[in-house]
Amino acid sequence: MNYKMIIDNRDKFKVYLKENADLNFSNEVKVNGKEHNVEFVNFDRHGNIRSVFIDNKYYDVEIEKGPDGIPENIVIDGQKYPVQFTRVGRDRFIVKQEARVKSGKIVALIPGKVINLMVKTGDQVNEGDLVLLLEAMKMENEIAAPRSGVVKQILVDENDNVEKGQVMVVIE
Amino acid sequence: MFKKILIANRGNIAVNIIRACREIGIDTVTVFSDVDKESIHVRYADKAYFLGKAKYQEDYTRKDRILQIAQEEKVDAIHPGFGFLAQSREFMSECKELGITVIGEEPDKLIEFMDKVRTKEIAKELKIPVVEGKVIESLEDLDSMKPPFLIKPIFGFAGRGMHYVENNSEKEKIYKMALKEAEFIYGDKSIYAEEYIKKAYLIEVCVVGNGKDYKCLPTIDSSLRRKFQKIISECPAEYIDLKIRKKIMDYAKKLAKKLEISNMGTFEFLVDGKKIYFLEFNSRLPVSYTVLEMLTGFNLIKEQINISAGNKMQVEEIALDKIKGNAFECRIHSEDYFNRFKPSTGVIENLIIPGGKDVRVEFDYFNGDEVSSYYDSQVARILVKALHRNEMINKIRWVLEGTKISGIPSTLPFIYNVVNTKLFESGKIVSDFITHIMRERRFKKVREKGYVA
Repeated sequence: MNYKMIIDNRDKFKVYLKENADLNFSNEVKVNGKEHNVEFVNFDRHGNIRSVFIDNKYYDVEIEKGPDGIPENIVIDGQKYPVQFTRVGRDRFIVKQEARVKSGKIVALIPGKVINLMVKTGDQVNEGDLVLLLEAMKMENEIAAPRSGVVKQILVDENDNVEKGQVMVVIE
Repeated sequence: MFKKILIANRGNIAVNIIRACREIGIDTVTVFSDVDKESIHVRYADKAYFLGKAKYQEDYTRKDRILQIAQEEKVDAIHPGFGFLAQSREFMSECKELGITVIGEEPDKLIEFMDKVRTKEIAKELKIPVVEGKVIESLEDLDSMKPPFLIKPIFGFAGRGMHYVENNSEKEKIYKMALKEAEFIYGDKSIYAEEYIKKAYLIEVCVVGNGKDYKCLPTIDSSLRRKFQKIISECPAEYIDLKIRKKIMDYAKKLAKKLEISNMGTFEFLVDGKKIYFLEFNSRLPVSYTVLEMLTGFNLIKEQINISAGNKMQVEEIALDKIKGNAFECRIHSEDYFNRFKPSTGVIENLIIPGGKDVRVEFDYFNGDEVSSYYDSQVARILVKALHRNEMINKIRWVLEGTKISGIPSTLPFIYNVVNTKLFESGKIVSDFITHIMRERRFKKVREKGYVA
């Protein structure tokens, strides 16, 4: 995910953090396109970061958060800097999701086995209607129609094993 | 005592069986599928045999191969753990024919006990109130059921294949779905319908027995469930009236005596205000056995082996008012809390869980292990124990604050939020908690993206 960061109301930075990464162990951090090695070494009892190694240099850090949990000030080695932190662009996950909805393709997001097909070709479905059940991780996962339309193609059979990314049903 | 045991399971339960065997001094043989070749139970066992590919279900349910290995290795007994073969009727009969002991209930009895409707009848005979249910043979049989109700497989377990019917219009669709799923999961189409009690505590009681003596262990509250899977458990759940808990244990013991259980059985009850209803019986150790062990200090798996070998029972019954301490357990799954609990797979990069006095951690994986889509998504269990309940609450909060899991998205933030609610503090988490809690602000992100219960 990309962020825009303004420090001291003047210095601007483009910050990139690896998608879905756990912030506390984010090993992929880029600032203005340059990669840095970041290791968080010390937390207080509330899970806040206390100290950090950046490119093998040690810093004492304190983050003062606003009421909505967004950092307002960062104190580094005793010196306080006001920061503005904004997310740039949309979450890649949501963008992907939207593209999927638009295409009408129902894709297996995880390998599994089709247990129950609840539609046939030519059926009219509404957004959110159950289309099939996929068994994965010893659970029955309900797969719903991403949008309203007519079932154009069914590419799997009951009891089929499907791979991650495989198109199962197409809605038009 | 047995000399050699085959463990036909995986993950943390297999590891704990191996640990118990090693403690007693029994050799262990285990089995594994292709995705589990470096799995934690394979690394712990004395010997491990390859079963086949998980993708084609050539794994822990392959009873022909498992029995062949058992004979080749000349094992004295098989411990099926829970799930997989533990509830397979054919497996039990075949073991009996071959003269191999299955650790757990007697095979004949087990087959009897699997019928959920029958145990309800027995409870009724004993004048124990039950959650009313009936066998469903056709769609018309559902006409007398007033929604909301549940459709459950008669031979079901582990909460799979259960369906919630909210109104009459969806009855037919769900009925068909339930039939199909029951056959797919359990190989048996029999289903039954059961009335649905919306706000209730789900209380489990474990009874240890050898056909003559029966010892009832303290009550476990496992009300918080998602998709009928238990997420947190607390023992002895002191916020529930002592009289009610005593009565539940009384009922459980009565049932155990009547059924003449010969190993370990778990009885589930619903508590709605002052009313108690018997829900179901499973003839195995409770899935949340760890929280029971945490509180009582017994080793329940060792006790299972012990009873199956024909030795004297070692557990003792402790009166509920004499129990000291409170124990809590939470299960962490590789499901993406921020994305409608989507099941997620991947390599666990870093697992850090703090230790300390009376903190117990049970891993299903090590760092660097891959969570695959073929098995259930439990990654770890974290347990704490403290003398007073408020200390227990503080303890689980700081333990979870210091817990890090990276590499895969997990339900850790969800559990952290749960233990920080006022409802949890006051012991008021009942079965509708998940629908209720989604209204709270800190759970907003889940709500916005929608949630499928």
